[in-house]
Amino acid sequence: MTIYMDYAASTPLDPRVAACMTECLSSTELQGNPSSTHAYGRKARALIEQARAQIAACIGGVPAGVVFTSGATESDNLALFGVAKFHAGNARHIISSRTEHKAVLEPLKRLEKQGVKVTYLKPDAQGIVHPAQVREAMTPETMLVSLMHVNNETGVIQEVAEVGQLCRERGVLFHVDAAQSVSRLPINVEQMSIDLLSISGHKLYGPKGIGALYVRRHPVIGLEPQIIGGGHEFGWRSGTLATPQIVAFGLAVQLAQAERDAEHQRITDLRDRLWQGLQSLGGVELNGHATQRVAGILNVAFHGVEGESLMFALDELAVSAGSACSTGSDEASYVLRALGRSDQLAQSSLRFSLGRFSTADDVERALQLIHREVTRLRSVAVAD
Amino acid sequence: MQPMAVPMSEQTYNLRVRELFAQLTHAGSLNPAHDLLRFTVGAHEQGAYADFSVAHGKSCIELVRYQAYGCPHFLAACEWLASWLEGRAWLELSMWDWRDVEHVLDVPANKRARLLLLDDVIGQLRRLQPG
Repeated sequence: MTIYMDYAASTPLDPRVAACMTECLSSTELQGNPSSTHAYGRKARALIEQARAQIAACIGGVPAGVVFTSGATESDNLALFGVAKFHAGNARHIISSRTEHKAVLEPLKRLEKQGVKVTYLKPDAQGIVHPAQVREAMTPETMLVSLMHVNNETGVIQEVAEVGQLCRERGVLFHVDAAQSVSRLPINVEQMSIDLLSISGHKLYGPKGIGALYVRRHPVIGLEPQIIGGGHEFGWRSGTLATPQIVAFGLAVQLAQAERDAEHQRITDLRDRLWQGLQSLGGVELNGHATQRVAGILNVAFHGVEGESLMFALDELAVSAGSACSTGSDEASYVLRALGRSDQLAQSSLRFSLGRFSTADDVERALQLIHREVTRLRSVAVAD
Repeated sequence: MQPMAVPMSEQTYNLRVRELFAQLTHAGSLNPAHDLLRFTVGAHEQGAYADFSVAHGKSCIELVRYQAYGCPHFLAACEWLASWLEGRAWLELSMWDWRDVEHVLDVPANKRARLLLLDDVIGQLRRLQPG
């Protein structure tokens, strides 16, 4: 059976969340449109508001700030396009980094074509974007800083609270893609001066197809909606709300917060054992900061092994590669290249991500497989 | 990062590639005691290279070994070529056509350049063949 070590790509649905969602899907009383004023609608609406409150509580925000979306990609799009379009004609500068998710980088590219100036900060070799870099990049034109909390490839944690404080002092809006961090790190949007926060359901053991953008309400942020129609979600995101997904998402967030500390130590121990076992192979390097990173993500470069062959040889292991070989492209990870890795080494890198259902047995089986196949491929390769 | 939760072998590589990749029986190098031809094709910067060692007689190729670095298609192609070469008369090298490997291994178009490295192997053998 394939060993699942790809929690950063998607987490399995927690059985408790699945049960909650199934109940919601099968209950005839919850089939009403949550916008309807009749009893069925009110019942669905009540559960949605409960989920909104659960999510707000987890991130230190207010329920009225939680805008449900289809996931973090849509949340990122809404934050970036929404702010840029609302402020069109005024401030026209955004600061971000080279190691953001494509859900941020692609909207930024489009905004550049529309005349917005974007500064892409280069992280240091450990993947850290320093607050001082943000400060230096700020101009009177800067309207928004967008920075991810935890990098999806390396697991590196950015200093978002410091950046948030800096933004607040300068009157600049601050958006954080927290898709990878809500289940792994404490977040408080007020204390961290975060104005906009993207969250995804399927990164924290919830269902796919649901997420949220937290929007600071006091004072309210200018945000141009990107999907218009019925004026749902405070007018920021139209579309009939997906009651079962939202209810499940709310529970998933609540469980993630409640179990975070207990999970953290267990996953750290598994990750440390995995790293220790990989190091015994020799010719491996950690990608990203050694300590300023989350427990569940380990990105490792394997010297002397071609990336696509490594992935193929490890077919019994569900991990992610440092290249897009699966799509027929040889393009190396832009995140790892931004950290100074060569194309070859980036392509020979694997991201192992562990989570709630990872076991010590998974780690040992994975290590056995990796040792066997890396040794085999290295013996086939010409010695450098 | 590209999620690989679904095993990619069945989607990306045909059965022959999977068989050859699993059993790279000609991988290695030959003892220098043999009458050997040795040469390298490709480069690390190109993402694929192979070091061939070929033991031969006057009329034919006897043994072939290679050490290679590259994608599964390239490693499988090296293995296929090594098998194809062993026991083959020098004169038969003219029968080589890289399209045969492309067909057998169902190599995607974007990897053709790597297959052409095998043409370089044949070219080297023709250049170095005795007599």
